[in-house]
Amino acid sequence: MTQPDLLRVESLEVHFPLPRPYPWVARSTVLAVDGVTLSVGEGRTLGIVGESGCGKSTLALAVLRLVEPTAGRVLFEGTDILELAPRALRPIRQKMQIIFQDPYSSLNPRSRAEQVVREPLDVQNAFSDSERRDRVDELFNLVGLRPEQKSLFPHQFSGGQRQRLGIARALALSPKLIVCDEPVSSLDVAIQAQILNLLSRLQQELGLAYLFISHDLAVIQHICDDVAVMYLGKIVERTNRNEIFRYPLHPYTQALLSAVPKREPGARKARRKDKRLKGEVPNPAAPPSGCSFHPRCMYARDRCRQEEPELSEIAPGHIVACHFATAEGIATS
Amino acid sequence: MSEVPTTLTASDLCVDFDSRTGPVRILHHVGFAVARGQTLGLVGESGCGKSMTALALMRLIPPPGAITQGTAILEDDDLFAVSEDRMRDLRGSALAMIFQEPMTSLNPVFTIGTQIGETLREHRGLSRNEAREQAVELLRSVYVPDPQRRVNAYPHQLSGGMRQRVMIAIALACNPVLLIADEPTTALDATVQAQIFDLLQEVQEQRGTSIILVTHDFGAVAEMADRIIVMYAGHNVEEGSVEEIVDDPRHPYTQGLLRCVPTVQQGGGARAPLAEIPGTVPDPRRLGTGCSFAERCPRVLPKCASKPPAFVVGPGRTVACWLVDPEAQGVLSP
Repeated sequence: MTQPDLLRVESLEVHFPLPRPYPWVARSTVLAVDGVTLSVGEGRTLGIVGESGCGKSTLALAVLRLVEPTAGRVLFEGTDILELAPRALRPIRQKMQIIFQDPYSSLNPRSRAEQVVREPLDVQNAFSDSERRDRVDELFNLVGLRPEQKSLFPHQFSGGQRQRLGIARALALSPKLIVCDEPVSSLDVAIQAQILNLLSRLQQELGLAYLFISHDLAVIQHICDDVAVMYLGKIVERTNRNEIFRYPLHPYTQALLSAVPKREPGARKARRKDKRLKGEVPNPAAPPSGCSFHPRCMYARDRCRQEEPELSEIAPGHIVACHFATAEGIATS
Repeated sequence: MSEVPTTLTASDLCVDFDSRTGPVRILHHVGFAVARGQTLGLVGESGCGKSMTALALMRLIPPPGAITQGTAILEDDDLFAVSEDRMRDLRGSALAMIFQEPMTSLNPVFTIGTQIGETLREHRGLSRNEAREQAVELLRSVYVPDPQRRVNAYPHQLSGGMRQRVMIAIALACNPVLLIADEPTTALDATVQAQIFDLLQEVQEQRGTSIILVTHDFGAVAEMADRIIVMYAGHNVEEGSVEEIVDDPRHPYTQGLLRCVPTVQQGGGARAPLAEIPGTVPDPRRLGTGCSFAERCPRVLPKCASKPPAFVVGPGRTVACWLVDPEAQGVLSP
């Protein structure tokens, strides 16, 4: 913790203005990411978890400036990448790469596998021609693809192999940080394990840091060192892996955990259904007043409807945005 | 088990697809029974034939596929032998299906009230107004908020969870005895999945509906199902009660599937690499004569070059693997 963070995101905001349905109506704005602060240390994995529509993918894109943030700072090795001109940004892009959710649409169907992996090297003009070829061979080997598959097109690969191709492409320029946007959620269960193990092995061998976006708490628990829970564009709880699964403090985190099937026969019938989260994620263009979770929260009181809770450190290294969260649980009186 | 009457008995179900090189078998002699008011889970990777089994029961296998063998007795009808007219009567009234993607299975140009009403008018001969009143009641029973207003909504105006509730309302419109749910929550968030499962369970308790739940998620079947069938490459590889399969899997494929999926452990738990099942599901055109799992199996034997029969290892419990062959017990005991 003493060394400076590889990536530091401060009060990041991404607001999307919506088109006005009529000229006399005020413009509304979607607060996709609304004041997110987080950091990822070298060689560590930070997991971002939340339901669909909570802004976690927008956050992933904004960190790489693939979506232009509207406010805040993104410090990569101490440099604010939001202030850089596109030309100055390019060398830094080598060190931060992304793996996408859908290995079907994120590969060019007309490029051969070799070309897909080689393209970042060509774009960045790294190495000589023969070195680039060697690098491609090395990358194929690293992610577990066979050299004779280099001349195939993406459609000739299975889903898991395509994701390996996406990983090889992300690794081409020896990055320090890889943003993984739901890298296994479109894969088959048995293939998920293969890709998760590959990501863990690569992290150990290459000292990579991951910003790992997922809606699957089991995957998050398996791969992450630290976890941030997002709800409606904001981080509501942030701490390390052991702490969050042992002492989830925010009611939303507790609800997410209780919704995961437990793989215990009959567990469902015995479970108390009043613990169940009601309703769905509200419209981010019209977030609720006060705490944005209050309409679904079983502990909600008047204060939650009026006043937005700040993130505060409830226990050492455990940050929660809830008026009534204490280290012992939710204060009920 | 025996005192609960059976809703559906399927046996020896085979589905073939015609191809240029001759018929390709997609389902190999699949058989199972669903008891009244109980849930049967069909589990496996994509391409293992679980959705095909569900579609076969509805007789909705797309051409060039066809059911070439087998029976499926639902109450007094053999679903594979009745006329197309009779099947049309049965679909929606005796058995109904919920699909994975509620957006693509609802018609975008009709209101949900019209689509729920369609089933009622078709099967129960209700008038337009009666069907509409019923639709409101059905929406209320699946906990769609503000059903009076929502009955006029179009599918795109609803969230994914709400659309799946509408699908369930359509499926329940004529009170079917068997509900087939094909990955009903795969496209939904975990919190919404929990709500949908609560709803299905409530429906089952109130109406005694039998449910066939098709899913790749072992966590979901463990919580929902009474019995489980594990499928691989069109074969039923292991069958048993939910406790037997989850606590004591005997087939190497079932063991692999259970081990390779991370589960949430309270307090974090140890962090070991996940067990992997190497390779992928085989192409059905290239299935040999041996055990279809042999090339991915960590405990493959010379014997696996011939196809293992379904060994009965307990009441209602079968395992299609040479490892449980009673004649070889002691030598190969798992």
